[in-house]
Amino acid sequence: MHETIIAKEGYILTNGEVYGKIIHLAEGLNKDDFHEITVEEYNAIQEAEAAANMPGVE
Amino acid sequence: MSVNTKMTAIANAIREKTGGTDLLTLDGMAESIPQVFQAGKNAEYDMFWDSIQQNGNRQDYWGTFAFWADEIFKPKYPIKTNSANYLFYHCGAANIPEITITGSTLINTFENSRGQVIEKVKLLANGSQSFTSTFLGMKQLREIRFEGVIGNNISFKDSTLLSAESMASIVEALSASASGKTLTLSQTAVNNADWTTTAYADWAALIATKTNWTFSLV
Repeated sequence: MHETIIAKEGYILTNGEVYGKIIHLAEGLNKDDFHEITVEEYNAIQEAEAAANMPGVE
Repeated sequence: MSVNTKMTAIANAIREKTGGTDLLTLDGMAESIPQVFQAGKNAEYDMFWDSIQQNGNRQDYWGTFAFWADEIFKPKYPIKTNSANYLFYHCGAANIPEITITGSTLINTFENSRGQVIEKVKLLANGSQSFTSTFLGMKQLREIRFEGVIGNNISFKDSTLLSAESMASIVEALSASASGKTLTLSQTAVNNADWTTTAYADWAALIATKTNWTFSLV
């Protein structure tokens, strides 16, 4: 059975690797490893990752 | 040259293009013109895809259909590739046929493509392949099916239209033995899904089949 954690409105949960508004944790994962960041912070992280993945970018 | 000889030459030319062997009347010649036109189109189709797909022998498809502009995408041969990175990057094809991928990475394979349907992605059975921004930005994706095993993190976070059957296919393909891996989906897609089209009562019932995976909704 998954344990579910839900972010407050305007926030995203993350443990530095997984991001989500709602996260159903796999067995063995600890909800205390997750914290909230703002949606703006999340969008900035996603944009940076997308830019890093563009063709020709090492 | 007599008229009869000229008419025979025309009939021979028509038969050469259509592959026909019957005698042609004048009316038959007129009726054959669309067939001649279609034969020309078929020859162009064959020449184009034989070249692109190396007569069906192509293996390395790195970036091959990136920025393909047309909605229509009908390759002549099945796509079986050991190199699928950027394969459909920013591709305009609405319907992508079955694709078999044996390479170890799927980097940006479908990123920002406008595909609504990916008929099937056939992966290796050992779950070793990795997914990096593979389906990023696929806002129009409604249907996708998988065969083989997904054994690494994978995300469809931008696919808000994804059907319940598609999500079921994805979850069913998740490795039963992997640990520490995450499937990311759109919360909108999950909320709007019609689970009656699947074997699962609801989202909770679906993910309960893979307790070794983390499911993230964004």
